[in-house]
Amino acid sequence: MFKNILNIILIIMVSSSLSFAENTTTTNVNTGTSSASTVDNSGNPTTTEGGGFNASVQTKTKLQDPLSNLFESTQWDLFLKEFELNMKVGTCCNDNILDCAIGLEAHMIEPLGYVEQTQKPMYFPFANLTLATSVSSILKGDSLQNSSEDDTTSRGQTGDAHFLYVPIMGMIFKKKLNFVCFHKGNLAFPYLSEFDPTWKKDYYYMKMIPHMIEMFSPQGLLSSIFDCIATESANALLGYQSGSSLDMSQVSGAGEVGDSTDYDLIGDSNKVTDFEKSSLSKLNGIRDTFYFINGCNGYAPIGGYASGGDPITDLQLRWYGIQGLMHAGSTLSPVPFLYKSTNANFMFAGISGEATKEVKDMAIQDTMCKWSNFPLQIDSQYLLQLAYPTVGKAHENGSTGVTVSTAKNIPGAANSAVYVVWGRRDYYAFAYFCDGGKKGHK
Amino acid sequence: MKLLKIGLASLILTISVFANDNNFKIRKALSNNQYKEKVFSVMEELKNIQINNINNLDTYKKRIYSEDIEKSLKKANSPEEMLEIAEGIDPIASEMTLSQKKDLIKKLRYIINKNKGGFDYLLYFYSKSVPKLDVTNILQEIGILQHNGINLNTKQYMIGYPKDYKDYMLSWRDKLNSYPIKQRKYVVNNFHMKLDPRFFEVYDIKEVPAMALVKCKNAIPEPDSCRIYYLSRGLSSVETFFDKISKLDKRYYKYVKILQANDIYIPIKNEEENNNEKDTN
Repeated sequence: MFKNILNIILIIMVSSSLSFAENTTTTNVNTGTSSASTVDNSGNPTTTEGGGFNASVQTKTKLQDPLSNLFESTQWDLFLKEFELNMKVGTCCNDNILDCAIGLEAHMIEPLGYVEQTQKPMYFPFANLTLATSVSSILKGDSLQNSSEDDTTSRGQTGDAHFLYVPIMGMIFKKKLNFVCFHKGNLAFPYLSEFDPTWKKDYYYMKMIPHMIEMFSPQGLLSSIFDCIATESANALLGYQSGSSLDMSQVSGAGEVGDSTDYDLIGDSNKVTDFEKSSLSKLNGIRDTFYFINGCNGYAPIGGYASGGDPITDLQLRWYGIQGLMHAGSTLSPVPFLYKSTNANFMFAGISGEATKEVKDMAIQDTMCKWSNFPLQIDSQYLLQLAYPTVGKAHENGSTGVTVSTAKNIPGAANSAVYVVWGRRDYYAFAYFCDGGKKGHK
Repeated sequence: MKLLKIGLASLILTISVFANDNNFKIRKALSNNQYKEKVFSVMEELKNIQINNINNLDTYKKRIYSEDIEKSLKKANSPEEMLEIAEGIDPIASEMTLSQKKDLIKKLRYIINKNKGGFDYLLYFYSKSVPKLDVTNILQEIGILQHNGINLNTKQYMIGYPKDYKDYMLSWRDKLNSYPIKQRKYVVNNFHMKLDPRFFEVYDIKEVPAMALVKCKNAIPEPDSCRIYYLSRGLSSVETFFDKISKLDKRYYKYVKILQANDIYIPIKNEEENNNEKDTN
């Protein structure tokens, strides 16, 4: 009963927030553009140099918010890179096996939205927008939100973080590409840490999510090493940006493919089919099973606390915590935002006990015909791409794609940062239940 | 007022996350010792590592906070170095025997070295007007090469997509039915259709079909990470393609011999396909 009432209220509130968000978008863009001009250290006015992700790690001088710089702050060619249609046939059925559609195995990726962090409550770096109202001023000095100085020094720094749902490709293409299933919906604010009582009060967080504490165990620590290595390996093998030396050119010693004169075409090359089926799935299996570790960034944060050393890494960790909340929240929300949409494999099959069936069902559920709810983080399902303060290339969730050096010397950035969140999907094209319902095929 | 609504929505979402019984049960179940044991057994299974005699757990937990192991790992240049760093911090890693360490490094190296030397790709460029059997025959030939130990991969890039895309794609299945089971496997396993116009632009492909032999740095080909070696424009089989290349590089003669020595099954084209082919020509 309580749950039903909550759900009804939630629908109303989310609908309201959706309409509000749409109204403010125009304002955001205008505000963002006009206030984005800055001066560099020498006092000279600066201009945007280059465009797109290629200009990623070079010096950036103009702070332009990602929303008003949409087409240059997002690495759109990721969709082209990952989309693939195979000849493996599958069927998706309605309630009975006589009502089935035939589809072909496909894989795709799309931008789901933004995750951002800021030190200023109710400030949205993705649109360079501050909601300076009575609410934000209350939050600044609210005893519920602020922790003591001792807490901050002993547990790292905290700030506010938001997850903004902007399925831009779904908005643009809608039903034009009928073989691709994009996320649907409009701009929404599914997570604002300012309103999360567990964000800065880790006591609440630990009460709510006790299993996180238990993972600080010898087994948990050892798994963090394997998770880190598996994440970096998967990132390098798929050719995404790597901040560590596990970049393939350094690991393999093979040199750059494009420039070597004595590069041997025949000989020590690899067969991708074997690689994809064994190595990558094994690496991703390790990453997904150790769901409480975000690759080389470490443990999922307790609430909003992160080390504070590197704002970019802190944001990755905070995103990981938010990702878990969003996955869990979507299991009961009428408007699900994040769910299991890939063939991520988990090694949960051996778990027994009162919730065995639920865990097992969620962990191994086939998502080729319909996405399914899954209450935990899924490492291999997401890619992150820095959109602010600089524009970076995408990298695997948990990989150290960018470091603190990426963000330094950016005037006015403070600790604000914005990532574009990319989500993958494995599905049977032409048969997938794109709307999540039971009727009809796409 | 609207702002308050947003706030309330977030707050309610947060509360409802934790209010759900099933959700909490799952989290509780994952927190129990059985899960930890499972993690432990998974790690053992994967890495053959045994953890024994962990006595001073409290000290150990403090070290987790103080040493910040993940940050140290970022500085590593290789898996071996990662293990060395971990060994200095992590008492568990230091308890591993030499053979266990070697085994772990061997497995990690195997995974990473899979990419050593890059990936050979035969990229095939086509459009709807290219007869399907020409495409499937190419895939069959590549399958035969793979079956004979040649590490050659393939992706097919289609330019544009037809309005009746669903019918077009599903009609490929009919073509598969005209192949014997053995050859069908070759075609199915090698069919990876992509929509990436960047290759057409970078390789200056204005007419299809075309075929390119490239070496790619990563498992997913991208124009900027693949080096093109040979490009053939126009309709040709893989055998003909390598036959031409073998005149420039004799090592490819082996490929031609393999293809000549194996039967390539060529299904009979139906009337519609013959008409299509005439139109194309």
